Amino acid sequence: MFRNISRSIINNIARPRPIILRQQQLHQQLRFFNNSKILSHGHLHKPKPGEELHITFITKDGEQLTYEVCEGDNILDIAQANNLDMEGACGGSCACSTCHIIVDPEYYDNIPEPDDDENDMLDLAFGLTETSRLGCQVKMTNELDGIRVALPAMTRNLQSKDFK
Amino acid sequence: MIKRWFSSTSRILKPFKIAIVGSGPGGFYTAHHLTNKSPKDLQLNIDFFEKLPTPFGLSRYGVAPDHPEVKNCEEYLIDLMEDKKAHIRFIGNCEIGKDLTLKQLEQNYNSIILAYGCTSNDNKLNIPGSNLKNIISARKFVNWYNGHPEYYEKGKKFIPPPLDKIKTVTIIGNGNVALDVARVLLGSEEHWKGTDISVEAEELLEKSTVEHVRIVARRGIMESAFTNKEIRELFELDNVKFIPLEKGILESVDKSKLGRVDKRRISIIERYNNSTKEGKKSWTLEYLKSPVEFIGDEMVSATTFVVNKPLNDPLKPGKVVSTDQYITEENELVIESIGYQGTPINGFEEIGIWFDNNKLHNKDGRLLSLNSKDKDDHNAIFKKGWYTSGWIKNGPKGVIATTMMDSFDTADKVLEDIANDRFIKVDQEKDIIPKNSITWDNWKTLDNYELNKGKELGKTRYKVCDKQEMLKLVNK
Ligand SMILES: Cc1cc2nc3c(=O)[nH]c(=O)nc-3n(C[C@H](O)[C@H](O)[C@H](O)COP(=O)(O)OP(=O)(O)OC[C@H]3O[C@@H](n4cnc5c(N)ncnc54)[C@H](O)[C@@H]3O)c2cc1C
Ligand code: FES
Repeated sequence: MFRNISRSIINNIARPRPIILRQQQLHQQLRFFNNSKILSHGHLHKPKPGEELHITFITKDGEQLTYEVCEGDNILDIAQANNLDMEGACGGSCACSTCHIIVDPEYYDNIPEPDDDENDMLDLAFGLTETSRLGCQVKMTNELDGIRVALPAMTRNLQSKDFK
Repeated sequence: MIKRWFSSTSRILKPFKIAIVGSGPGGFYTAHHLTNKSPKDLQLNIDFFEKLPTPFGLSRYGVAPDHPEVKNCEEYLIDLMEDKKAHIRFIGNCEIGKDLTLKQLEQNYNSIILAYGCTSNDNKLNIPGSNLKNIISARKFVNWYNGHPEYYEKGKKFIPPPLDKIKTVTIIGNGNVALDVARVLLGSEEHWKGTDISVEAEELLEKSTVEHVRIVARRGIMESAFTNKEIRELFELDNVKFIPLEKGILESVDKSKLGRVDKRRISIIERYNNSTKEGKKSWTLEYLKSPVEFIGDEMVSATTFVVNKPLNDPLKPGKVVSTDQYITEENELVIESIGYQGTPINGFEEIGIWFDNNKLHNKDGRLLSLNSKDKDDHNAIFKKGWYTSGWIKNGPKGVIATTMMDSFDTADKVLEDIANDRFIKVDQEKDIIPKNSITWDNWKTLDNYELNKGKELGKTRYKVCDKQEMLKLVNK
């Protein structure tokens, strides 16, 4: 049931528009200003020509942004390096659930299954769906080339059972 | 001429003053979002007022000592204090309503955010025998093992339950706090060694004779209040045996109808319910029982429960009704974990803030005026410039991630109102900070002391529990 909901969220938004090569632009900019801080913070690598993988983010406002990234980059780092709204409060140590993403069901099964620790945190995430994952725990691989992920809209739907 | 120009644009030129009452997650995530999202031409000066000499609220005094990764949230406040030193102050040992009045805040700050949590009181069972000895609230027990200064005051020191003389404990309620308390009672010496648990608690736990902990809830398994992370931790404790659920509890669950979180909860419980793990200590998860009487002379020796059954009404999910069946089980200690409670700050009425039924009335974080009391939702009147974040905003529930998201929401409202010229106009330029308050540098001194002494003792931190000692260490 939930799987269908998340599929419809993703399908309702038009298919990708022409690719915006933000990642590349960012690299150019960084080189230009000789500012390597963001790069090292995000642990992102520049993909070798011909080995680029693609990821599309669907923002809370429904905007689609596609980036060229490297194998091994994790989705939290990619989002943060591109200034997308992803908090990553625990710095990617699987202890906060603020890097929650909803994965296009077409790609969901290509990601290795979440372990217990990731599931524990996912269970606390806002607007959990059947294809939810934690961005910091998902690394880009060849199988994920073209993956689409949505950033969940922040709901105010507090779970009263969360903590008593 | 020039003067007039100045006064009409003073908003841009003069820094905007914000007071935050409470330095727990609700307070510091609000501040983080405010500084992060405010327009560049708006200079915010933020003052944190904190009742205790120490920052971080429940991250320091609630979160269990074996959850150090949860306490990483404290980095948010530390980063704020270090990055924005000139514009953010920590004012510890300053209780609003006592050391400073709400009125004084209103006279001196453009926006005020109440993030003082819900830690001064708790829900209590009011049943025969409640005043017997060895019946305590989880909040008190937590404050004790976490070294809360109000529990280590000379002359008023909290007397912990005699853990070295008892065998069986009943915990009423099955939220995460209840599970924390169960872990403290069941975990081995090694489990707690090296954590920042208070030294007094560590010493008493070493001598503990507790053998069995019963976690009892009024409703059914699907209404369990714990999160999957916490229940898994308890199942995985070394050398502790889980005694399988009573027959019928798991069998009653229709798994085909469950959402992701519930399905996983049931699968975790199923996985461990059949485990053959042995242990020196044991625990049970019990459902559909409400305590009706505590029995004992002077000290509690047993609890009588009425057995409940699910109403199974789809319009009233989770609701239970009592049967005419009663059971009495022995226990030498009862810990009630049925919820923390919000309390008002002195002076709410006087300045027109609406607080009743343990609730600070607000709409999306904006405080409602006392004049809203008899009005319907649409005609609510706001108390201009006043906001709330954290547990006191929505009631004592929600993990830190929830508190964070929700605090961001409040911060957005503050910024929206500033942009629309809705804030308290102040012209006083007085600094109202009491002389004996604790500064961030004072806290750093204490922090270093605790960390160093911790190192000596092989602990992540040695918590100074006595407030007078804290003040002495920072020369106040
Ligand atoms: C026992 C326990 C364990 C928990 N464990 C976890 C966990 O493992 N993981 C997790 O994610 N969440 C956990 N939580 C939940 C988490 O602690 C809360 O979500 C969060 O702390 C709420 O933040 P807050 O700022 O609203 O309140 P608090 O953290 O309570 O902060 C309020 C602050 O205000 C101060 N204050 C009070 N009155 C005044 C006054 N009049 N003037 C000035 N200052 C005042 C207090 O001293 C305190 O520092 C736990 C909660 C409890 C009770
Ligand atoms: S960043 Fe905290 S869980 Fe991913």
